Amino acid sequence: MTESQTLESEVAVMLVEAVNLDVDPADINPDEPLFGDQGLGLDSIDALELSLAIAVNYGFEARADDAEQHKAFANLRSLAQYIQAHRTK
Amino acid sequence: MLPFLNGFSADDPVVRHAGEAVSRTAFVAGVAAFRQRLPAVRYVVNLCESRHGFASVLAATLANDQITLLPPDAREATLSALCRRYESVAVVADAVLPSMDVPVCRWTPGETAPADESGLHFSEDHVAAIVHTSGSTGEPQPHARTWGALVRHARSVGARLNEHLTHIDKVVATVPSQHMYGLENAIMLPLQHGLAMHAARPFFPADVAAALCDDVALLVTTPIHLKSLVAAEAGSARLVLSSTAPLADDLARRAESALHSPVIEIYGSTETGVIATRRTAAGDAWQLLDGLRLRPGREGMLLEDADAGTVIELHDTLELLDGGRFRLGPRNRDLVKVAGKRASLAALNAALLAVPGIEDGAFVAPPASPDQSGARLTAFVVAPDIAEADILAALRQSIDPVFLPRPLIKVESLPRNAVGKLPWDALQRLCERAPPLDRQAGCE
Repeated sequence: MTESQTLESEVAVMLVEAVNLDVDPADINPDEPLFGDQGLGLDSIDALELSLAIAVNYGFEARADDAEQHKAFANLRSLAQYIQAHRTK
Repeated sequence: MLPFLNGFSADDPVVRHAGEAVSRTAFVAGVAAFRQRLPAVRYVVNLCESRHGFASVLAATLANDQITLLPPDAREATLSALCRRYESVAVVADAVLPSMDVPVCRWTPGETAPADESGLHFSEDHVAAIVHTSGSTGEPQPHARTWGALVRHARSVGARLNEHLTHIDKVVATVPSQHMYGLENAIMLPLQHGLAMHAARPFFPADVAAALCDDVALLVTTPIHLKSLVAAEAGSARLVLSSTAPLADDLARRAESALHSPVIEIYGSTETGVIATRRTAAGDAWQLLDGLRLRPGREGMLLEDADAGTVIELHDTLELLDGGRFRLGPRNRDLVKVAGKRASLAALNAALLAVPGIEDGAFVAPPASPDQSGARLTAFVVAPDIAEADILAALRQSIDPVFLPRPLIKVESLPRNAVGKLPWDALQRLCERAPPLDRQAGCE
């Protein structure tokens, strides 16, 4: 596994725990949408839970008002890249 | 005739955004410009995300004798259904424009046209907005509000909060303007009390903290946001309003301490708007707004609004106390609320049983817990031949996604009694026995 795949798996586990999803973290396709009608179908409540988990696990606060962040929550792959770029722990 | 802007002098800010302020004069000029661009239709769907855009389009629509439609969400399927139901519709948005087969136009800040400063007074009887709730299944349900009702409500809420509203620089809200709670408290309350609206809708705790910054702010929010603000230790406010889900008293106390502010919980519904308030950390009794009265009806409690001349039956059971106060009784066990949306368990169960391959099944509301703010529904199904993912995919077609079960638990049978009913207690016991939340692998 590459370093980025390792982080993706780690983020998948955090995601599933944070929003209490009924899926195996290993089954999440890194390119499938996290939010909306397709993919995992997360909603805004999940986004808040996810932001808290990110703060606890990776030491930074998610912001919705920068354009980069909007893309960051698109799928598991982009979320892991966003976390990699901003993590303080 | 009642004014759109009450308590603002010409230079007072109506909207604040990133250090800039939009004065009453500039706001009115923007409305005058936009109303000329509004298509000549009967109904206008207002999807604007910024409070500046939302309030401007609401004013322009009133000025043009049109009616604002507010959808439960901005999904294309929802919008298409709304446009099919109402003929002669246009859609206005300020961010992503949906692709629709009705006229769609964009609201942008900064437009101006000559305007009569004394304008923007509208008739009390004008139907100002029709708010739509998602309903547990099927079509959005309409709830019409006249301009008079919106203004009267905003002013009674203001009268209740009076002592807290002095010296407020701006109103910051984390809720959409398109739902009744946001419309009444993030839009109408500031417009009727000379308070500036913070243009953006901050979402994450860090966004809310940045929006509050050092200003003296009124924060309009929800228990789930309060929970995240407490956890992130973000920001401070002069007054906090909370609604859309019950606020646990423990969370209310922690939020008061974290935000250095009283937290006032609002009781209301889309049908009624705000009807009562309480300071949750200080007691569980609600105080009705002035001018409202409760009396027992044949089925449930009736709410009388003498000024509006209306009587509405309430969904919750209430215990009347003296002096216009009441306590909420045991919850109506058929009604559940998730993410501010209300559904009937009976309707959700019907949708569940309609999924091919499900032999039996039932939704269960989560038991009350101190931090229930984010809680989802659980569903038990007897469905030996169909995978969980397929059940969820089928349900997604028929119910609002916030009600999708998490978890969805397969069982061999449901604890039905001799007459085939599912006693509430038996379902609660099933929930308690359900494996803990980290049981994903065991759910196969």
